[in-house]
Amino acid sequence: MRGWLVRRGADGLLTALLAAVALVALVHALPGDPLAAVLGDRAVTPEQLAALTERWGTNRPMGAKLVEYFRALSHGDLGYSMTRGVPVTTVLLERLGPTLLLGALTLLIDFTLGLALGLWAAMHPGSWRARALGALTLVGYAVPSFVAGMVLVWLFGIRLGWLPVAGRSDVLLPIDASAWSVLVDRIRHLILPLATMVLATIAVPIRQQRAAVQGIVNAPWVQAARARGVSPARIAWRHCWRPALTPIVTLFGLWLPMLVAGAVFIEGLFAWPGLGALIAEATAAHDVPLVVGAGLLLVVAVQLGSLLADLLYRVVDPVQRST
Amino acid sequence: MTTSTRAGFALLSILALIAVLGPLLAGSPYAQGNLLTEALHAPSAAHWLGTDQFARDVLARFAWGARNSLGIAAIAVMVATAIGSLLGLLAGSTEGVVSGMLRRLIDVGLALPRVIVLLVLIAATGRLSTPVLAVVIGLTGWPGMARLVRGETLRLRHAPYVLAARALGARPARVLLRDIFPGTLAPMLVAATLGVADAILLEAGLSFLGLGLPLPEPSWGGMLLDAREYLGRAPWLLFFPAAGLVLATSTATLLGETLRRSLQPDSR
Repeated sequence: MRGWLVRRGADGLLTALLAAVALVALVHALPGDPLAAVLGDRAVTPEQLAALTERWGTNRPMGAKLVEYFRALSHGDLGYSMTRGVPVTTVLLERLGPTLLLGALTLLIDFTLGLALGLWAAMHPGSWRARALGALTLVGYAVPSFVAGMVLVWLFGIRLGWLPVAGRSDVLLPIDASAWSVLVDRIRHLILPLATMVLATIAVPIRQQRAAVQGIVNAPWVQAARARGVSPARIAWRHCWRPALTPIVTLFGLWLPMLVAGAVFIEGLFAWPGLGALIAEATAAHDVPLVVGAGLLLVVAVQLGSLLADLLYRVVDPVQRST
Repeated sequence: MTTSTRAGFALLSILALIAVLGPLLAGSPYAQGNLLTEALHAPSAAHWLGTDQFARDVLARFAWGARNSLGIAAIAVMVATAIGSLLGLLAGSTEGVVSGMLRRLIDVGLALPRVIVLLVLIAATGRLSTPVLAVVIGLTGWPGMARLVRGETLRLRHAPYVLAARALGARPARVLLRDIFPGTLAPMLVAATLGVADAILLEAGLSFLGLGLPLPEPSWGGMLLDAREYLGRAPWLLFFPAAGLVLATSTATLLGETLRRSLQPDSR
């Protein structure tokens, strides 16, 4: 097991490193001048332009730029944001919290509610509720996250006026508000972005879990348990759910990329101050160092997720452990 | 034909009609009416889908947007499939160092989320024109296809009929092109059909962020961006492009699943 972990970890590290090099090299290989993009239509004197070129090193050869970037990266330095004038790492750390909160809660709901619904649907095949759930998950697959988000904003934020649609807290909240009302305010602001993220992602675990359990629901050991008079609830949990867990774990590795993609489109819609909104803002402002820095962070996160999935796979599937 | 197959083809014909004939029948997607008297009108006999904040006809923008969204997705999927299948075939049929390097290349491609690569590209180069955006979305889509085709190639290399061809003295290139390649076509077609949905979502998502097609250019994602400010007063600006997107992605998913069932009966 330890030998496997070391090999798998080294492999993931190499892939992440090569992906990082590819991403940074891509930026420098592209035609177009990042300075011109950031400056837009502003008039600059030749001296100012020379100073900016010197500061950002935009005219150096690509190899030198790559070496320099990764030398700095080895000290944990991602350079400076071109539009904010502060280190990229500072901005990223600032924006990490809200994204982690949203992502972790989405993950939690997807893998509890989603798996429970999938298990339930597989145990009640043909019932109208299960079929309705199946149709709903198909719709969930097809509706893009930002479309779902906008419909929720329109319905609950504007039409019904029940929930706030933007930001993390209410500016009108008095500064000496009680801890309780602050918490309620925070939760109310969280509901719509969280509901959007869950709607956009939960169809996958439901369908996977249902398919996995359906393959097992008539297995010989389940029939034997039924014949012994084991209670339906115990059959569902002990005899069906546990062996059906293996394919679900592979899903886990796909989850981070899905959350990332979702966050990029959804956070901006709700003015949620996370990494996804940051990347979209930075792209619009042509702040290349910031976009690349955030991109690298996500590449590493995705590799960690896939490593974790492989690890879990070996934990739940005894056959995998021997190799 | 099952019901879902029929439904899939029916939806596909509707979409094709909208994208091909729609722009011919609808007016210009750029023409603005009188901003004071004709902006943000609800659907009526004059404007079947209403008008937007610039008093433009939503139906015209919807039809032209369909052409843009679906056209971009089609080109993107062709690019992704061409590159991905070529790399996958090579990675699956070569040996030793070359095979290892190609496998690593595919892994690295899979390690880079598509959205991130696209955003980095857009940040570094500025706005992309419609055909360039289509090709670029395709250029980020090859890793998934390459992994699939590589796996199929590895599997087929040891299929009895391929061994038989080799035993008969067929050259490796012939075996690869005439025996293995046709065997990868079915899963490739399924993946490409499902990939259309991803490509539609990427273009719409980028345009929704204001980073895809430049704004007067009609696209469903851009129309949603336009709708954001007017959700309360003009919800039809949200409903029609949203319906178009849902229709298009569900068609691709439905057809993909149908193809999978009929071409790969053993896959489930």
